[in-house]
Amino acid sequence: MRPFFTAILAFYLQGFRSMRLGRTLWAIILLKLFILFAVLKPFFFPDVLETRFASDAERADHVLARLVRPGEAAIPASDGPAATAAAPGTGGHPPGNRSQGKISLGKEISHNVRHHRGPQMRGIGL
Amino acid sequence: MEYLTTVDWARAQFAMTAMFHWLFVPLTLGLSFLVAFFETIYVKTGNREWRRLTKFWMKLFAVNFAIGVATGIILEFEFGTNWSNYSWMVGDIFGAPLAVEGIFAFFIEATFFAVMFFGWNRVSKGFHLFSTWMVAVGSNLSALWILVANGWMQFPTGMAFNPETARFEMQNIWAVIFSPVAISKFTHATSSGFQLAALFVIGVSAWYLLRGRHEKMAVRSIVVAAVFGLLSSAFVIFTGDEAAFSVAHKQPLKLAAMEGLYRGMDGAPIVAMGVVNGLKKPGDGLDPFLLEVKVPGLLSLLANREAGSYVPGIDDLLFGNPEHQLVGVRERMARGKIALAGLAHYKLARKSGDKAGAAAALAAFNQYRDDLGYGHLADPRDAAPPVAPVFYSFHVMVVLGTLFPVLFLAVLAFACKGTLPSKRGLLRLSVASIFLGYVASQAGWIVAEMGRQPWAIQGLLPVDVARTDLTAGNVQATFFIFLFLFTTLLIAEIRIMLNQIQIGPEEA
Repeated sequence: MRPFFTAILAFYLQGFRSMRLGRTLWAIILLKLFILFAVLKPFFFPDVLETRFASDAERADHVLARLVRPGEAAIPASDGPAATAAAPGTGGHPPGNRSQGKISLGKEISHNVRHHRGPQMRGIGL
Repeated sequence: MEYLTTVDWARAQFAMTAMFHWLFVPLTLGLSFLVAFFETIYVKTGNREWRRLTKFWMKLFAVNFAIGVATGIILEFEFGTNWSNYSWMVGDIFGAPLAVEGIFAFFIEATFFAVMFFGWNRVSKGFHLFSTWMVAVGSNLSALWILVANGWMQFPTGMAFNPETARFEMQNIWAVIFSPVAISKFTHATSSGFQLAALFVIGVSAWYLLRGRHEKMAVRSIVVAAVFGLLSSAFVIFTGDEAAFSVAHKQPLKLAAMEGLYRGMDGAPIVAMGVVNGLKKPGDGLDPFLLEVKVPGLLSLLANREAGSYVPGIDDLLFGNPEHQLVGVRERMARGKIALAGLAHYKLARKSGDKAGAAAALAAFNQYRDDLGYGHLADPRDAAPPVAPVFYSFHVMVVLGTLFPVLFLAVLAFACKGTLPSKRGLLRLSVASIFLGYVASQAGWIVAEMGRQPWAIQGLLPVDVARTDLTAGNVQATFFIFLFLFTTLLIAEIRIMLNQIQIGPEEA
């Protein structure tokens, strides 16, 4: 086995020694890797969740909290497909500004979740 | 630049890194195969001129590879820093393909790459050729895993969301790997890389012919590259058609943006040429184009394989169209908000030990989880990608992709007739086509990525939620560091490459 590994080692060593353009290219690769891993990664690119939180449970909580945060946004009153289709002269397309009288979905959502039912849906399936 | 938010800077940085990375990848993918073809001819014929030619293109392959290597790692840094929520959520899905990619790359680069460059005269001809082919096949397979990951973002499948860990978990790796979007993405991206490599070889060879240097080698290279380019072009057209079909059914808003189609219709046309109306907004009734030349029925054919079929427009997809059973974004937003609220209630109920409440909340989430991401939108119009850049990029890509096979055919015909060295206009065009190849390649990615906005994961996670809570200034600083680093590397590559081309192949 030993001669086999020695031969492989010799193959690589001789190959590296005989490089001409390769030396420049290796210098660029090594410099690049140094900049990436010794400068950029530790000083400019921390793994934010890894550094800010101690455990996976905390990380999951943080991401989940960010994920469910948007309830704060109020959205315009529903004008589903049937409503837009019914609006005269719209041909099923939105008739400009229909968003007067915004409602907060907060209550509606809580209600739907509590009673485990969805919104009124028509024509489901895309 | 103060109006740019954190997510804008994070996206700009990611786009810049990915575009820079993609300068090197397609040439590596295609040139590796061309080098393998050149060497195969050498081994078959035993003609040492082909060996000389192979070694020359192998040298340019090495320059491109060395400058490009590890630029992809920067994308992984950015995931952890700028896109930490996203990274956390998709870690389970991306872990497998990226690990396989890393293992592939390591073994191929450490073994066959070394034989390819160090092995001339030291291993048998057959083993050297085998190594060259392995580098070509391995590099392309390496790309498969990255493109599978990207395909999953465009069409998430084979997974389930775990509300305990806030992660998407892999349920079926085969569904992820063989997703139609991943397959069409891989085949189209790699074949376009082959086309680019053919343009590169033809362009560099054309430069030698213009200078009256290495003419025999140049013509031989052109013949092989032109045949490779023609075959690749046929494949690019076929896979492009498949990709468009897949986009039409999985990401219809992207297709509508690619063609600036606002109102759906039967027998939808393709806009062969057009100037987008910059003032146009979804649902406003304005004309989408200031100027347009249409080919009737072609978009329907592309999207549904039937010239008279219906293709939905942006307005139909955003605001719904009951006639065609299209649910509008507003309704999906309502469902998404219920899914999100279900998730929030589930978390609270679990904490307070309310099992029944947790079960009800989870059921509500599960009912509408496919529209999870829509719960984050404030207006249906937010679901539309930016039309102008997607439309123009798509058309630039298609026009150039159609012209390249004409170029391949022309240079091949004149090379076979032996008159190519005298066709100076065509040779100049061939040199310029190297740049055009890169333009087409980058344009393709602009279509793919801008066309799926606002999503990081289609329909499930908008980019604004995927990002890390950093200030814009943090991301801005690293953006400019990368801009400097990439510019320096690019200058280095171009200088080394030009220098090697100037030197030319080693003397016989």
